[in-house]
Amino acid sequence: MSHALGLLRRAIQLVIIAMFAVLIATVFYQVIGRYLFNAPPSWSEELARFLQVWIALLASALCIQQSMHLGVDYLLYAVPPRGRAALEVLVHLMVSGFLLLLLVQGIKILDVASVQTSPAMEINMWYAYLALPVGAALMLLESVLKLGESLRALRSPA
Amino acid sequence: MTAVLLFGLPVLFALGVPIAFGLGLATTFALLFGGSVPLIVVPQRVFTSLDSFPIMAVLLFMLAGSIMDEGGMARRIISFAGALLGQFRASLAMIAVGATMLISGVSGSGTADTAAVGSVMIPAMMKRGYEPRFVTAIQAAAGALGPIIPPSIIMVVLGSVTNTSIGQLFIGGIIPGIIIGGFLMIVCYVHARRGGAAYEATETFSWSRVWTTFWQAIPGLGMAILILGGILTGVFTATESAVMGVVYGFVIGLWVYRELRLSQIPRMLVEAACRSAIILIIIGTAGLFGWLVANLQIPTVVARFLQDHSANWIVFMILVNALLLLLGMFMESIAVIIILMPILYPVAQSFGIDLLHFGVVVSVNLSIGLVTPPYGATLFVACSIAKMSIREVTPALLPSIFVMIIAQALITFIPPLTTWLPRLFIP
Repeated sequence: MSHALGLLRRAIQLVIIAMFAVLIATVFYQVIGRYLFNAPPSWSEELARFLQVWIALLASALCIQQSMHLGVDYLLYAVPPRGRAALEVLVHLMVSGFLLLLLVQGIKILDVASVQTSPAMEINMWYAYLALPVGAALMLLESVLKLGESLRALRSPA
Repeated sequence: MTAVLLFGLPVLFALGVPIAFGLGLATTFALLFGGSVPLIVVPQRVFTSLDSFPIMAVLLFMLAGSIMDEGGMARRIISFAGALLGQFRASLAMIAVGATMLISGVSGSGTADTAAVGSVMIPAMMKRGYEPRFVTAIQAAAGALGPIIPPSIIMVVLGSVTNTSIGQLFIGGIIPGIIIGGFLMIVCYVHARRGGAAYEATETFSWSRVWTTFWQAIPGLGMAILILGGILTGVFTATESAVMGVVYGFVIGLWVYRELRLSQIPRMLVEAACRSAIILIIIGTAGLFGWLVANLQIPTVVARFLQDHSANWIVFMILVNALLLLLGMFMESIAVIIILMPILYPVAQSFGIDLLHFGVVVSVNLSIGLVTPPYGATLFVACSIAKMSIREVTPALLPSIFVMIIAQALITFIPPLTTWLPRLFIP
């Protein structure tokens, strides 16, 4: 189980690396194209934007795993340890609930997106919007794992 | 629905829900209670907010910051700042402020700058016997310069949300950045007066050392000149200048300074993506929240309230500054911009306020919000490097926050401080 998780996270990282590298190359090419060849490519900006949506949602899943998404933690530290564990359960529960909604609605939006074509590259918008359900699913997975951790902390006597 | 949206948010934040998901949750709850709007707007608004070319500068400036750090540029710039400022009392603290100012010319993120300079200077200051609370506080405060001195992630988001020139905002931040940097150095000096032997100057001034360190720092400083120069001359947009900075930085780090190895780059990409994702997800859910706020006609109500209760532009600016300082304590600055600026810009315009001036004032104010507890991004970074708690550091922050608010008042009431320089370059 933890081995499969490790592989999944490694795969996410590799996809992020590839997409980020293509994004940099694309925007760089756009600048060079405009000034050196006097011919700005029409597709570059759109490709970079879609890649950005993908990178943001994928990387966000890694951020949940590393608890990088910040909030105000004054109350967490103001209550006794037991209350803190209960609060953490509540927070992870609510975040997971939101991500579940994002996943379900993200799948629904694919139907709408699949009949649209992007203006510049003329690709099916399904490929761009797919980032939402995929990203939401991965974030949900990490969030549920965090929920499990906090539940165990709540049950443990210490 | 409005009540659920507006009261739900502070409750969620107080419980400790991360800002990004709190914004999404509050909107979702409001939609569920309201009933009439289909929930499909949730993914749709998140997508639309992220599908933006100007916003891409966030991702790229974040990467530029880490190239600066790992490619050896940050270290050489710190040495150069050391040669310039080592002669003063509290020299190490002044170097921390000065180096943060220089590095802010490459990175647009206060947290990246705090990490780059703080990881070197916080341990150095502690080792020398500076008061740990002061050390942490001054480095956190200096981090606010990151998004004030161009480039700036806060200004990227502000410009793209309000459809105003990001380049002009960037240049408008230069003078406020220098003022605040100077004020923070005064704070260092005053603190050192009653500090004792630990705060004595580290070295005597020598032109030859300034020259050597400057020479070594040139390729690193060149990255700042490329980014700023490209924007100043109008050759690049903010996003394009960021990508040029990234490519240039890789070349310098890999083949000029030779401190970067190709094998490091994949990890740097993932780290920059993750640090940006924290902001990008907030941009996505704040876009969703802001959309519902606009849909509920809240902007009209707020605008009317502000117009009725402000006798003139000065009162309005005081109200806005006070509101933003307060929100900056509890909210992520990016979220405040996305939600409030579509409301405040038209009101500012109705008072005849120069929108460039207004934009810079707002950006500087929200940069101060990075430092103010309990929620302060640069404060989190400085505290984690120093291994201190925000509670311990808070009293030591007061002098820095005080001088930053004075600087804020100066730029609010003397508009040329923010508008003269940008209009000189980009008419």
